[in-house]
Amino acid sequence: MILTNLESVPGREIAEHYGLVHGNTIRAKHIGRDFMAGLKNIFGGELKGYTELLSESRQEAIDRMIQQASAMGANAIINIRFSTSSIAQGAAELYAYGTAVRLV
Amino acid sequence: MVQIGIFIVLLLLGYGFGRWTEYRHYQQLLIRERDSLPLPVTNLKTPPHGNFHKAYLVSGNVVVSVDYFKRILAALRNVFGGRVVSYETLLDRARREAILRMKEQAVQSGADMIYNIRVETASISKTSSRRDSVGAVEILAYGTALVESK
Amino acid sequence: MKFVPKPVPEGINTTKVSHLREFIVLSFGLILLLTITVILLSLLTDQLVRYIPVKTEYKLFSFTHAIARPSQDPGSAQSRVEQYLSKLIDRLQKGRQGDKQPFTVAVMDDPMPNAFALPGGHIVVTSSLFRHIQSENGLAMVLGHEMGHQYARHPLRSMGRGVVVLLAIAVFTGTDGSEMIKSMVDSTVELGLLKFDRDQERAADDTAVSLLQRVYGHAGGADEFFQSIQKLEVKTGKNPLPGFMKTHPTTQERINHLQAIVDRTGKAKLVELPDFVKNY
Repeated sequence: MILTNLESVPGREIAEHYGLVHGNTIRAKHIGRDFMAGLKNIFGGELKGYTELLSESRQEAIDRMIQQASAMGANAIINIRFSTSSIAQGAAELYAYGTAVRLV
Repeated sequence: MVQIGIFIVLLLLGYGFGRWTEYRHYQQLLIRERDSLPLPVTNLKTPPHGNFHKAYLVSGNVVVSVDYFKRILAALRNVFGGRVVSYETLLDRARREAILRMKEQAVQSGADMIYNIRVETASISKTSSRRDSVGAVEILAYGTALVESK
Repeated sequence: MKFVPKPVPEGINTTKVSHLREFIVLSFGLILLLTITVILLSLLTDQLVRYIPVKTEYKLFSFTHAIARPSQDPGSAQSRVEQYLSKLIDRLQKGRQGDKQPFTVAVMDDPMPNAFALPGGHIVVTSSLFRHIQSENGLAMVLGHEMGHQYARHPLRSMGRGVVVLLAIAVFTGTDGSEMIKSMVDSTVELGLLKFDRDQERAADDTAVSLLQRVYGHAGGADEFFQSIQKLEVKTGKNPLPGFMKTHPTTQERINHLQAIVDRTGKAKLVELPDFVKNY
């Protein structure tokens, strides 16, 4: 599955497009990460725990989007956009969406 | 003791009504999605070649609220981490609803396709303090509807 | 490029799992986690608190909370009783090996007969206690029991445990947004943490008995108070003091233990209580 946030795939032609596909996950942090974050609040620096958490979630959202696209028979997703929002206290939602296409 | 009783009652109410609402909503979504499937939608920015005599913004938004049971489940998840399963269905429904509303608005006004769809999510809480977790989630989907000139 | 409408497959962005099961599993997990943490923390603090020197404890707890405040009026009846109790405590302490501790004793008005030891050497006795004691020996037993708790640092240990557990709860529940979780947590943890467990009560009993023996030569009157409570129960047919029973579980075993000691050391003459105490 080819992923890109361009509007086309350079060097390939798009035969047909199938519409919007999207993937999202909602992940919560756990007490351990929270505790470390609390400490970092005093000392500053990168919250590695959270970074890890969010990148894992983003990867999962992308995987779900790919799953949807494959089920539709596409072999590329173009014009991918991401959106992150905080849904609840301590939980973040990762949303990825794009257009599923079939390249020639 | 009374507090626990109230808690359990609220929980059951939330669970029961929540599940029923979800079930009904999903049925509706499936029907409406099937009906609006023919309309091309994409988030590409460049419109295809052709003669378009109208291009206008269409949008659909929805605000969904979280029931008690889901909220408690999310709070429990917060202790152990991992996927908050209870919110997934909620957001999935909300998003599909918003996109459907946008499509329906476009179809009603006679559009032929929607380009450059964007989706925005916002969480709306009762108060802005830390204590209150989500009260509701708002999803906005918007894009440009194009009408071809025949 | 051509548009080919394809239906989006279901179930990819949602997970098919029974919400109810998830709820039960997580709640169980939370309760388990909390219980383990609380137990570990209490054990830990119990051990560590021992290392706080007695002098520091007295300095820390030198304030007297309202209930533990002796009468400020030297002429009042309360003050007279308190002075009498104070002297009794001094007599009990005299000749005891180890450091003498400066106890402060206060009498509190309460319909429930009770006596308790707070950290910092504060002993509080309720006024209705005197109605259940017949002799000075019985009173000395009660005081000696509380002193025994203090000698073994039980009040400080209980309080230390209680504080640490409350802190743990605050850390756990302060981060998530649900107050219901918080009350679930509160009811899981036993918050009557100023209780002393059975072993501690037994140890305090034994200390008190040894104090009695040194001062009076025998342990007569040691079970006076409990006998009195028991008689009330028999007479009225129900537990007269449910509140008392909660904080001082008097098992039959404990009463038997005391009675055996009394029988062993013989019941010589018991010293009378002065009138102003009996009628307080």
